Amino acid sequence: MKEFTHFYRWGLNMKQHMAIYTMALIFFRGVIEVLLGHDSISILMLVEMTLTSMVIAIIESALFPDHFDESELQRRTILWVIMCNLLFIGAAVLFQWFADVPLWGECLLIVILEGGLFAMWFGVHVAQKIETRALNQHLHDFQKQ
Amino acid sequence: MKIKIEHGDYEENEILLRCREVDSEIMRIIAFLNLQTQKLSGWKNKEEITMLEFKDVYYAEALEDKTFLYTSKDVYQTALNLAEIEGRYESLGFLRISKSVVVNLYSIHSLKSALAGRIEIILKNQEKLIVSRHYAPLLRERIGL
Repeated sequence: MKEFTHFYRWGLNMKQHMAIYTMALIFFRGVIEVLLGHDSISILMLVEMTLTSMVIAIIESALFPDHFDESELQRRTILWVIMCNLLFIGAAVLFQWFADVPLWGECLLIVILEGGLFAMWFGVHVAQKIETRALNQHLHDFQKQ
Repeated sequence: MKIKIEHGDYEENEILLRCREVDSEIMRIIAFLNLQTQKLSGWKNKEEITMLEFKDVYYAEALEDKTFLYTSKDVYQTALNLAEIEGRYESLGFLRISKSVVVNLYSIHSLKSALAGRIEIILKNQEKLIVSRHYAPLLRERIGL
């Protein structure tokens, strides 16, 4: 039962990140389709984006398990940034998601990717850390009452 | 607040609270006294009922139509349902954290902010529970955050 609960919780966390990445990829592809005067995205591309996001989310969950030594955060974060760049850009090139975008547009997408990764890192590891500290402070005050 | 202790030849120990009104201080004292005197009944098999002190009950979980009480090492079935545990013993630190779990706030070792507004609870026996997004604001409010 404990193994199942652990696996279930891992699945929930992983799928949330997978969904965020998939939605971001679909959103940017959608914007490009609209700018090119189209109104659809191929199903094959949606599948490619979903599977790529899943692979990234699985690797990410391995890099950031529930508990790890805080001293490893920097090393794990660097690995995560490298992995995300390699897989997002690699998959985009391999599957030609943005092949019809001019060079300046590709550069803009890379800047947005880096901004998005920073936002993810901030949201997950900084904001949560601040809230965790506040939660524990208030919990211990409550328990002392 | 004055504290008086009268020694005498009483048949039974008695505590009498005199107050102008039942304020939060009095409520905390009552909750503390309840904590020391009340017990929850649970059983592993129906031939042997165990009286559990509240502080020993880490959380209660509803599975199908049964309710179980979890201590640091053991699991007992109880006749109470979750709504009764939550309603009757809220003042003793019991709080609903998901549809199927009521946790004893005094059995929590630490809290961790999780994705999507959820909170991870690490109990004193290192077992982990998840506070769902729906119930997380109630936990925050209860501990004064």
